Amino acid sequence: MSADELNKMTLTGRVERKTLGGTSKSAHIGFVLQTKQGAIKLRREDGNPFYDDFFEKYENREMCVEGYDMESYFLVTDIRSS
Amino acid sequence: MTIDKVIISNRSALQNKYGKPGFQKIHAAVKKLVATDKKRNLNSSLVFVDDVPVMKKMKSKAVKDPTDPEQCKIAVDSIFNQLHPDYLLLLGAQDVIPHCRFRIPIPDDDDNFVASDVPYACDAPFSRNAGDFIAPGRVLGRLPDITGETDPSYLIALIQNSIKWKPLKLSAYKKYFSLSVKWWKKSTETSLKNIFENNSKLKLAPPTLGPYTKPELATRMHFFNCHGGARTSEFYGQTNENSDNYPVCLESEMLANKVSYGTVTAAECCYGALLYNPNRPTKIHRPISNTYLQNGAVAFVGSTTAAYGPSHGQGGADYITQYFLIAIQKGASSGRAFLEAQQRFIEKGDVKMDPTDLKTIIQFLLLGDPSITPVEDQPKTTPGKTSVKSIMNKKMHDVRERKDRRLKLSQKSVFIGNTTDAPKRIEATVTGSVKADIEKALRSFKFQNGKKFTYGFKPKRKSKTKTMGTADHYRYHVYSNVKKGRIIDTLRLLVIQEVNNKVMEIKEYVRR
Repeated sequence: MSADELNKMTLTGRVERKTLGGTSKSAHIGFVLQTKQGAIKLRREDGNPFYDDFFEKYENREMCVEGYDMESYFLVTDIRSS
Repeated sequence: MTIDKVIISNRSALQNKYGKPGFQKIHAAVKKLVATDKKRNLNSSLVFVDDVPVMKKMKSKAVKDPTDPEQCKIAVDSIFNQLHPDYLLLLGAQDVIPHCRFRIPIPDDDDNFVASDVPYACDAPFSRNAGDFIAPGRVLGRLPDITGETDPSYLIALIQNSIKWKPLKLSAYKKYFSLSVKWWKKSTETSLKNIFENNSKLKLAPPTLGPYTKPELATRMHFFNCHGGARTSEFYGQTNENSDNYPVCLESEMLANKVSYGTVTAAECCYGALLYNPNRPTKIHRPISNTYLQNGAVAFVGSTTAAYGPSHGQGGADYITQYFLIAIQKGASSGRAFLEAQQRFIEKGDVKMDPTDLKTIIQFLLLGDPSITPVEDQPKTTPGKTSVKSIMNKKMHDVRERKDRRLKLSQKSVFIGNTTDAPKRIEATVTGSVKADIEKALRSFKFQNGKKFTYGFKPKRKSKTKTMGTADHYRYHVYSNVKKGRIIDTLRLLVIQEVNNKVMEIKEYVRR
């Protein structure tokens, strides 16, 4: 198994817009996947980590996302309807 | 023989990353650094924390798990207590010598853990409570390799940079390159004025988005007050707080072959010094911090996680970064400059620190060889000291001066530990006049329906200064407030200080 395959997983949930970064210097609105276990921030490798308009079209939709759990966010490699 | 500088690493972790041939090359480079240090009047020694016989001499167990910060903290403490060095250099990134990790609860804060090197600079024994590490007293820095990489050439190049270094005249550190988020202009201007006595060279993002010319980046002091994100090789600008446009204003590749040897960088940006793995799970560019060091920078101070600043004026990340650059200009080694910045930050703050200050002190770290002194030593005219007409036995004099400074820094650490307390989240209710005052403040600052955390303090140890009372009862009530916007919400944090059942101070932190 290559290093790139480590931790790859699929999550299902609703894509929502949410305030991220708390009250820090870099607080911002971003997109999260709201799952039964809680919400996790979504990011793409080439997307702006603060506001990635790629996720706008999935807002409020139930989606299946594939990628990596990076602890503080989910690195999305693929997204599709669930 | 007195040991002045200990280079601490983990042999098995380095061998696992680079293989035996790669490890041998790194080992040879470190030996050259030790030999060069000797010529610089520094007795250096390389210690592997997983070396059983050596650690036995240090009266400690060898580290068995290189990812275990507790084992590493115990080992570093034993080394320090046996050798009492003036400098501690951690060699390698977090997969060689791990960061310690802490939970610091703040309403709406995204960081599950705060990665930190501060415990290695503290005498306090290992614990999982960040509040135990607010009084660093050891001069410490980390010369990192690239997390997860297998080619030793990066780390060898950084060691070579330390070997070759010769201090420069102060004039080389008077000019600067500075980049700020546009709407943080006033705060950054104040920082620059405090450091350089002028702010005329400040660049704002936008419109400044790079790439930058070699002459622009050639100045040896770099100061950033930009947005940063976790695992990204970029810093970002923003026009105003309601803008949803975060243009890239610096990318690590923009630094290639343009940074001058000897550059010192301080970055207030969130995650500015996070040593992420650029190869896993996907391949991205190296961190800005790693890239600075690769291109000749000798010191980089930044944060591992999201950083804080107040709504008006300055605080948190503003202070610790500017104090560092000021100390560099005064001729301190990078390690001493960073320790002085940490201590000054705590000393200037409240006796009972609020949770954002706790996060600030824990999250910032120094990347670079802490014994590197960027600005040429002027022992006859040390700032704050009566000028000296003549120095005899210069080598012995310099060592004596350094030992005196370490003694003072160590004593200041004890002082800070005795006079400053870190907050701990508690469950508490408020009643009477405090409740009325808080409600009034919440109305006044328009805080409604936000999250609330309360922080208290452990009963203070007995003061050694018997005439001074230490029984004041402090609490902090921290409220977060979210005002919904179309794209960007306005987020604020109200920190209400209560002393002896009276509301004393109210601070407002916002995204800046």
